[in-house]
Amino acid sequence: MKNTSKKLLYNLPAHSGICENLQLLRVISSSESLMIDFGYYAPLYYDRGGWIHISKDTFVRDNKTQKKFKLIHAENIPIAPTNHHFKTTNDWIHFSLSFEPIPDSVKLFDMIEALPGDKTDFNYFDIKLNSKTAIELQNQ
Amino acid sequence: MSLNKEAYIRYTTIDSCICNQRKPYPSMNDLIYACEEKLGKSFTISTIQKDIKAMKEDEALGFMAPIKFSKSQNGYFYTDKEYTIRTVPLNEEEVNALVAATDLLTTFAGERVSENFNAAVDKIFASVKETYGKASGKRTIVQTENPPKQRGFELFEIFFKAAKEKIPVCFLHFSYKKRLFNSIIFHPYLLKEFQNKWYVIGFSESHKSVRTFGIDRIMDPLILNKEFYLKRGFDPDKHFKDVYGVYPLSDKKIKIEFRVTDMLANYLESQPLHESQKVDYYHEDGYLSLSVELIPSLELLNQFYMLSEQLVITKPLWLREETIKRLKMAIRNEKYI
Repeated sequence: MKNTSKKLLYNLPAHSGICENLQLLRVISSSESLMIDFGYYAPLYYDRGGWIHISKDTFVRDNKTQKKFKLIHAENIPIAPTNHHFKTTNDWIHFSLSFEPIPDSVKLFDMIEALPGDKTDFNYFDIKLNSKTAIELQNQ
Repeated sequence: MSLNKEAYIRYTTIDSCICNQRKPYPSMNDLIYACEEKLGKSFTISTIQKDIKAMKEDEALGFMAPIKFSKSQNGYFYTDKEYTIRTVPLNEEEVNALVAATDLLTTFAGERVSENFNAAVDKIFASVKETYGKASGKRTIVQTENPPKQRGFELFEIFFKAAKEKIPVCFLHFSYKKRLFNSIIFHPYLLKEFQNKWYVIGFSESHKSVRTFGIDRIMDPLILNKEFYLKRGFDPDKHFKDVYGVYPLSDKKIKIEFRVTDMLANYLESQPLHESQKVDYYHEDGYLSLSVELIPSLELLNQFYMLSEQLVITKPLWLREETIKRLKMAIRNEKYI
């Protein structure tokens, strides 16, 4: 686990895997959790923008050791089977997922909602934690 | 009345009772009665006991009042006979000036000042007005615009502190036009209000330039432990001196010429669009040819569009065409929206 109380921000980290209408924006790593911030805008092809939720089984996986870290909190997005229904195709939402803290040694990880998954699942691979561009957060 | 303000009025009432030399050692019932008289509602023993405890012990409140209960007199007293929570000795004129100033400040500042400041004003009101009470049914004599609360206004303090103490922030932003999110590392320089909306201006690392963001579009700002970047030569006063609004379309000042009807001429002569506004020609029928020298901005375009019923841009041509394009769009929208 992390041995410092520092919170590190990885802004717009490089990654592979594209989820339609979903953008991975920030990763904040600390001794308490690994938090990932996302932005999602409602697609035009669903009636009134459709809906979103996140599976409770979503996890983060260390790319090197394959060790998994569980989802511990979801902010601004409901856990399935509850859905967030958009009112229009013009709607958008930002949300955060918090996972168990990862060790400092993890430099590359995946975030998986479902495997093998399809285009509607929130799966991201090879999310890079570049220590050179990490920024320390002030305690707020 | 806010709970805070009501509590302060109870504190000052309790203080007045304990300081009253004509009726020393007020009992719990005396204090309850005085507070009920003052505020026109009922209070329990527990409320007044909590108030006394807060006056004695609450460090944030700061009174640390030396209140004790005398068993022999069956009432409360200050162990320091000189003590009162109203420690600022003001004469009546000073109090009236303070009341007038706080009235004006709350009228003009309204929700634009911080919670802490409002609490401070509440304290002054509570202690001052307890003695020099505002007459009931007081007429409002100054009324300013009171727009609905802007989304994101709760972030004002974070950006105020960040700009003042030169601290970079990271925030999320959604572009309505591009329908895309961004996470922006930002070095805030200035908070600016324009037409009842707040904007923050600073250096965006994402855009590598000084940018303006509406505070309503900013989400989840994080305070960073990072060196602050102040762009050399950036002077907020100069930056906005020649701009009408907050979103300049270029960085060059141009001369914009326009003609207005006699009706609008009256308004624009009494309240010019900008300090650079000049009358170039008085037409016989009361129409005016006017000009301004400004950096064109989104807000200026909006203003011209809003006045287009009585205003025609003559130069530059591109600005004239832009306004005509908007008018055509408005007519088209009439059919489709």
